[in-house]
Amino acid sequence: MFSSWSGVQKYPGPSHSLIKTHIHTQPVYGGQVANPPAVGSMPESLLTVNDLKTEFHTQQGVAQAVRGVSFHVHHGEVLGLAGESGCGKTTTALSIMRLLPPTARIVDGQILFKGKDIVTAGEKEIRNLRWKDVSIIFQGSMNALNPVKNICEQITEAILLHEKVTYAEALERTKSLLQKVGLNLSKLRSYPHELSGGMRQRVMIAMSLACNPSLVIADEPVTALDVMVQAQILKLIKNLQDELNLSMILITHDLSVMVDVCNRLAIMYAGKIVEYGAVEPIFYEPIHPYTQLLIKAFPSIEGPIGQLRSIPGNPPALINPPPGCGFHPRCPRAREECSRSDPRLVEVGTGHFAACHSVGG
Amino acid sequence: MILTQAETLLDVQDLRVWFPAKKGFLSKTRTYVRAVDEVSFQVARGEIFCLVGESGCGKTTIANTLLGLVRPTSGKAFFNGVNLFSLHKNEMRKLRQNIQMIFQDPYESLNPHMTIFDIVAEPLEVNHLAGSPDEKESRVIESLEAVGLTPAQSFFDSYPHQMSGGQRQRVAIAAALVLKPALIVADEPVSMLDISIRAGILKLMLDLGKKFNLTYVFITHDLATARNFVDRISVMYLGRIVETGDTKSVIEAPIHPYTRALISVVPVPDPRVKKEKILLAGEIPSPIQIPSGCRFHTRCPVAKEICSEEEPELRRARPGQYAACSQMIIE
Repeated sequence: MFSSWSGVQKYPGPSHSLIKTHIHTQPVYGGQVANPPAVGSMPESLLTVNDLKTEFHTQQGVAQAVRGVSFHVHHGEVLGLAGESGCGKTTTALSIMRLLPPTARIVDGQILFKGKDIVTAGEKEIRNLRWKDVSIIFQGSMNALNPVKNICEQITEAILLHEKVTYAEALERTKSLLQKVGLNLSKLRSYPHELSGGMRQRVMIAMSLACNPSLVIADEPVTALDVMVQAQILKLIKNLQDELNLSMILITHDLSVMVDVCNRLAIMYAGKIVEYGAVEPIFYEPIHPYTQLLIKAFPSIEGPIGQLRSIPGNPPALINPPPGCGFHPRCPRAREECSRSDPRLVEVGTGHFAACHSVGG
Repeated sequence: MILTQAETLLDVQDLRVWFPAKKGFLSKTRTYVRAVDEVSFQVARGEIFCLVGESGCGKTTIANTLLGLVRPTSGKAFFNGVNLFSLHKNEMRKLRQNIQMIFQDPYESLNPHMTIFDIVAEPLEVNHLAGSPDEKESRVIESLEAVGLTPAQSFFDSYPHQMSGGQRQRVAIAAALVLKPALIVADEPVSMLDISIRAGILKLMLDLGKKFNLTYVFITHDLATARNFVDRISVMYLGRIVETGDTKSVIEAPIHPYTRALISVVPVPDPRVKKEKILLAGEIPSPIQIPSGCRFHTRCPVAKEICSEEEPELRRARPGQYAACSQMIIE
């Protein structure tokens, strides 16, 4: 995957004045200026996504995968993007990396990384940014790694493409990275198929850290793994995040995984964020009916055995999304206005936002 | 658990499934992947019995063996008193009407070229039970309505790709039900589905179990789901059952160190619950080179010397709870 990013020069980093100008940009929700989440801490934002809209062109028509998403990631924090399949969480991640497939297009919005807009940046600038500043851990490590190159080649290649270092230096760094993620150096020359799923995911993590990025996007990093390996990898991610003070976006459908790792959560449904805030308020005082039902649908190994509740109906097709609130066809509290107008995110508690007409959204 | 013969629907005894694996292209030395190694368990009528374990522990191989999809190396499995493994092909085919399977992935288990009607009617055709077209249709309708796809006629001409994941899994259940089986083997029936529809499918399976007096062998890696759904759990590690017992005992008071570790690492969807995690080092050893003695001793936090020498048998630790560990205290 790196061979296509050849010819990359060392990224000088955005100048300080740029950061200053852009970082104070107010996030915009659905075209109207809303209360920006956590106003006081704005200067700490590393990444600000404003009203992002991404579409896929399919044979059936245009699928609006992301329909106006806004959030930001502060320095050193882990933001969880949660939601079920098709809610737009991976598309959001790929938009930030500008790694969308050719059928997809960002149609509107801004993605400000350290003040620089990724959406309008040229291909060369993006190449400088990718991996060096923003890296991604993919879900299917078997598919994400190159099967005909050993892991040492793959990681050193990533370093050599993005930084002006000698091969020896790159090799040294590769070794220390592998140790950092808990892989034995005897695996240095192994090919991906010789490694177990957990080890491959460790290689992916090592590779994502190869150029000391300031933001790591982890897209379902533990979904395909067994529960014991999952616990090992989550612990590793958490330790590395603490140690390197990484900023992360953790994408998963599994809320129970979020609890241990994330500082804040954004719950997505049908291409929009329906609730956004710190982990505890979202778990204990969820406002949006979707969040409430989603939490109730999760089986737990602790506590009393409750009756698990499913949410009737299915997520909407994004080719022809329902008018108004995307959740209203399945919502037990849907009112007449829910099918007419789309609620915007409103602050319901400190730094806690929900998009529902029942709270005046 | 000691069951009388009348209560037992399925009795698996010393089941072994070894797959031959050659070392190299020209090598003559035979090695085996010991996928299932001396597994015994009983399933009572009307019970939901669960095999739980990580990938590669042999749980799916057991399911496939029970359905006649994989040949056992040795062992017996009595279904209603008849040993499944001693049956002739034709006898097995007849008996297989009583044992049906639900697979993990409803996107792959349904033939994309067939309509929903044909998918549900196929088991009837294969077993020459279709009868007259009217009879066939009424059985398909009955089956589809039982799984909540109503009105059934409106789904007849649909294809799987026109349906959502949850609906597809309902079709798979309808196709399993149409022969009115006694036993349904469900291999991870909800793990491919979104959380918001999982509970609906599980509840449907529970309701159908009561309505048609079904027995389930439920195979999963997800202990949290198992806890909310099954009556009895057997925990597998590297081809063997290490602990078995009723769900409450196994989840709340696990005995075997592997079960304890496994339960401790299941993430809890509650930020205020902080539990101590027993993280096991490394990964499951290869089933080609199974460690000597207790096969868990290489990763066991309480392993003693004896553990690498003797392979422990399942022993009763508490009423209704058995574990295979030489270090356990018997109450």
